[in-house]
Amino acid sequence: MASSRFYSHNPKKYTLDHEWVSLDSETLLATISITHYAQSSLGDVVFVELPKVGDEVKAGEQIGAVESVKAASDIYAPISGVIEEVNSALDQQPSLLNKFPEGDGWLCKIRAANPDEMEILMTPEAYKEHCET
Amino acid sequence: MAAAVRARLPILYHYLPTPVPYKPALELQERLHQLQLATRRRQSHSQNSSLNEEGNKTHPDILLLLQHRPVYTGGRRQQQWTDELELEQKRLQHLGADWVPTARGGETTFHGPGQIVAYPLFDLGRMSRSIRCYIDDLQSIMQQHVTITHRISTTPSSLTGVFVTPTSKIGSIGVQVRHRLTTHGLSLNITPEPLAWFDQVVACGLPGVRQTSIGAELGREVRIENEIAPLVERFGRGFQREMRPVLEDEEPEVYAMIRELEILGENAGPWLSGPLLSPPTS
Repeated sequence: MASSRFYSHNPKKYTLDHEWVSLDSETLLATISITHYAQSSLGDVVFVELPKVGDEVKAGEQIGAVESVKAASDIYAPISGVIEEVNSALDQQPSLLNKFPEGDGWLCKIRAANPDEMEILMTPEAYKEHCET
Repeated sequence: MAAAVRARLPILYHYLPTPVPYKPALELQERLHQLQLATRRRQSHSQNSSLNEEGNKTHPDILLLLQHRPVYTGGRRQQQWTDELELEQKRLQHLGADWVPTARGGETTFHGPGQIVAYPLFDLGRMSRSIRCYIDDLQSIMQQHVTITHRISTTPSSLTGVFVTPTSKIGSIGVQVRHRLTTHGLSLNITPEPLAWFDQVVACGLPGVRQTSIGAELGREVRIENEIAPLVERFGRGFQREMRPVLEDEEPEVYAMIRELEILGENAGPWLSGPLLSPPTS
């Protein structure tokens, strides 16, 4: 169980809408959240709307939202699959998204239906460039 | 070059003079949002061709200014249906207003005649503005309108919105952002008409804060029509953009959608000027 806290073994991929996804190629479980860049753009997060475990989602579909002060921003599934787990710690501590967006502030885990979808997402280098333009 | 072209794009605005029902106005925002998103996607798919080419038109930033018919709306956190919420909805409907849950930030609020609502449908990505900055921009625009145009002093607050005193609020903000495109926006009380409606709810989740209006602060009659031009100008300055009206010739699709809502408002007849305070006992 403790090893599930370490995501760095699996390289992250990024979307144009500033979500990151890290796929465990053995279990096909993909961990998802928003990037550091996204959280800094939002300001203090006061509420996180999470998807339901068991929901089937398609890449690009809305799966939740983050509310910072007076602004609700939608979050989209980077890849298709079934929601396996949600990070319910965010209910009590939405600020985890500000503090650890790329770690303990993960949003949900999706069982990937089509791991090939990872290929079209941005590499860390491409994402960095996307943020700078 | 492309950046210079983008910077010069005007914001297209339209003021709807007759109060409009909330739900069709929400649908209009949704349709304009979808149009912006589809146009942007089409454009990015054909990025290699010339910018001026026909069919490669860029999506406009749009600002709608309007008043609603009396309505209470809930924010994103209030979307889950509970018995408590159902009771509250019934109570508010007995007062003669609609109740509509929405996906914007913030909590319960009221919109109605005498209050200007501004819906900026902007592409924050294209403007290179963070969501946090955008909220600050909206707040400054309202605050300057109150203090500079009307010489009403405001009080700084750690809360979002514009406050005349720590317990009286004149302007509120609540937005939704999807793919960096904004919907919803701000509301500013102009005449005292909305105040009795506001007294029926805890607005924005702030017990102990009451609403006030420009007219109530000045102690004289103010007309909504006179607020539009200075507000539009503040938006132009705030976002450093030229403000141009939506013209039928230039944006036929956008114009037709807005006109449809305008006609709905014109045909909706008179509205209640205050809450019905003795609800039927049943």
